[in-house]
Amino acid sequence: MATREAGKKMIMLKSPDGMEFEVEEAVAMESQTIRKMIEDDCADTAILIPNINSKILSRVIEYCNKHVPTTGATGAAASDTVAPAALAEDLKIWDAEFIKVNRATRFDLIQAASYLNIKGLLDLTSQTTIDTISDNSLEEIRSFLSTKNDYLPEEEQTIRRENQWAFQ
Amino acid sequence: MHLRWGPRRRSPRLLARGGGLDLISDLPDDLLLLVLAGLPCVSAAARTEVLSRRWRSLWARLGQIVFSDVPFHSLEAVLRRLPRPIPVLSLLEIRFPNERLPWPIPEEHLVDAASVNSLLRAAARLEPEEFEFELPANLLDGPLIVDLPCFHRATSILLDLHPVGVILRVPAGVEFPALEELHLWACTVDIDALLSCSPRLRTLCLSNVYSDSDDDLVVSATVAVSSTSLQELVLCQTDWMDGVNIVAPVLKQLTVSFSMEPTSIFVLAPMAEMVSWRCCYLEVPIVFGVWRLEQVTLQTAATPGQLPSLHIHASANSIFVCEEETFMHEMEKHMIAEFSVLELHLETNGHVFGALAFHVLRMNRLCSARRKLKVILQRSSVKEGCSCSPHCPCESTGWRSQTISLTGIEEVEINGCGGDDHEIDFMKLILECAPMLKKIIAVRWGLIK
Repeated sequence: MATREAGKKMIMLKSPDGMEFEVEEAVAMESQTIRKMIEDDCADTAILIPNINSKILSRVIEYCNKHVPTTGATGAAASDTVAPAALAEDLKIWDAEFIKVNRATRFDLIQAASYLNIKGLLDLTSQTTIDTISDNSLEEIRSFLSTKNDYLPEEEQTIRRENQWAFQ
Repeated sequence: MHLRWGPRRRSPRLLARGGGLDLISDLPDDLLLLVLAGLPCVSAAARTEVLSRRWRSLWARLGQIVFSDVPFHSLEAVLRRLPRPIPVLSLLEIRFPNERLPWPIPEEHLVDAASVNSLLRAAARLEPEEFEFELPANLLDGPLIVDLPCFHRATSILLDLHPVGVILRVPAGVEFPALEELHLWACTVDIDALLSCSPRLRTLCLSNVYSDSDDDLVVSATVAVSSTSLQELVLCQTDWMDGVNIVAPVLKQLTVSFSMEPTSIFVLAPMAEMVSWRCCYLEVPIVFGVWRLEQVTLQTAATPGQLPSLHIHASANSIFVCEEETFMHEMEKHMIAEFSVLELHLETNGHVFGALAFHVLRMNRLCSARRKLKVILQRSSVKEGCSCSPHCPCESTGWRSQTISLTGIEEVEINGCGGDDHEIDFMKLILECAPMLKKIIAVRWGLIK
């Protein structure tokens, strides 16, 4: 969690389940949605983030803290002495760890990233699903995503026929 | 921003492991489309239709559709199945897989003009904003005549018709009202007709494209572009061409690259700020004494502060006869914009460069315009001046006794000097001829300045 540092403007984010998160303005502005609120002067002392529970919101803040371009509150982020390539590699490893969550959390994070408009987080959270669809057979995809085939057998036949070009 | 999602009611136990529930189907359409858009090819996206009703027809609403692995003969039916109008199809890109087929290619796989035209019409019906199309090079049987259909919304079109040299026609009534950028590769087309139905065209890129017009049934290997609205023109020719003719009064950027020298060049682009011009001489030898012209480039400021410069590359080893006037005439053809630096890049092979340098400097357009002369000598290990006889053509003109007025020259740099007598003679002569000279730099061969 961010701590108050001299000269840094802080913003209070509130989740609908009543939790409050004090974060640096720069960290909050990783979200384009919040950035717009702040820039349009719509942001009060506290911003209520609807629909994102405290568990997910804290993960989102954790992500933004890590990805904010200047030296973040986590301290271990950017630094003048670290080469950009090494920094990018560090972030990649961190992202890979960050996204090791269960499927429910991942889909909650996708929705949160979409609402808060955080492109990096949206790309990261949707990539696992993209890989699942890209690398597996239909039966495997259904099994991984727990998608129930609700077509009648003859309907499925028709759709397969229509999309035969895609199975070549 | 979508507003269609809300908190889901799930038991904490299920929430913890996320198992068993079809969570992805709860996502709103735009997030599912985001996932589909991340797939490497559109066929993977189309296959998801079979997963469940939730995925039905979703892929057809992708804003960007790239076909890269769908065989030619299947594609038209797929395009026709896509709903029209798609809200906004920002990109439609069509490329074909490199299918491994037996030789000769079975007739049913071959692609003819009728099927290409029909496919283009099916693509145009989807009204993409950006359209890219590449012919299946390996499936073509002889030359094609392709008719361009209307693309009403397209702001950018790229047609790669390589390698057969398609004749591209613009039928009457066809128009491209929104088109701002057009790239054509390898075709013969009536460029005037194309320009006249593209009123908003700003950028035109032509690669191995030749002009054709209705009143001239014989296609000559020329490219002629005449436009009062074009702001950027890129020409790239790797094949032989007879001539290039550009009339573009408001053109700002001109990039030209010829791998083989065109016979005639005419460029009228008075507003051009950025010019990058490059012409290689591979076919017809253009010779002065022992020097053969290899390449001419003209470059206006590529970076701020850089001076526009003309570079002439020549090498000494020619066995051809001397054609003084042709050499001079060839170089003058490329002086399509003002420049203030003249660079001579000379592969000397033991020959004396003074005669060539003064021959170039004598040219009318050069005498007063330029501010800096730079001679870059690429020497062989042969000691300069020793490899040729006193009667060698490199000394033919008696250049040491010439006097010309080089009033424009303020700076001379000679890179790769060997300290030979003829180099000293050259510098002395420059000192005599250039009254405004402020600086002379000589860098020894092998030294890095």
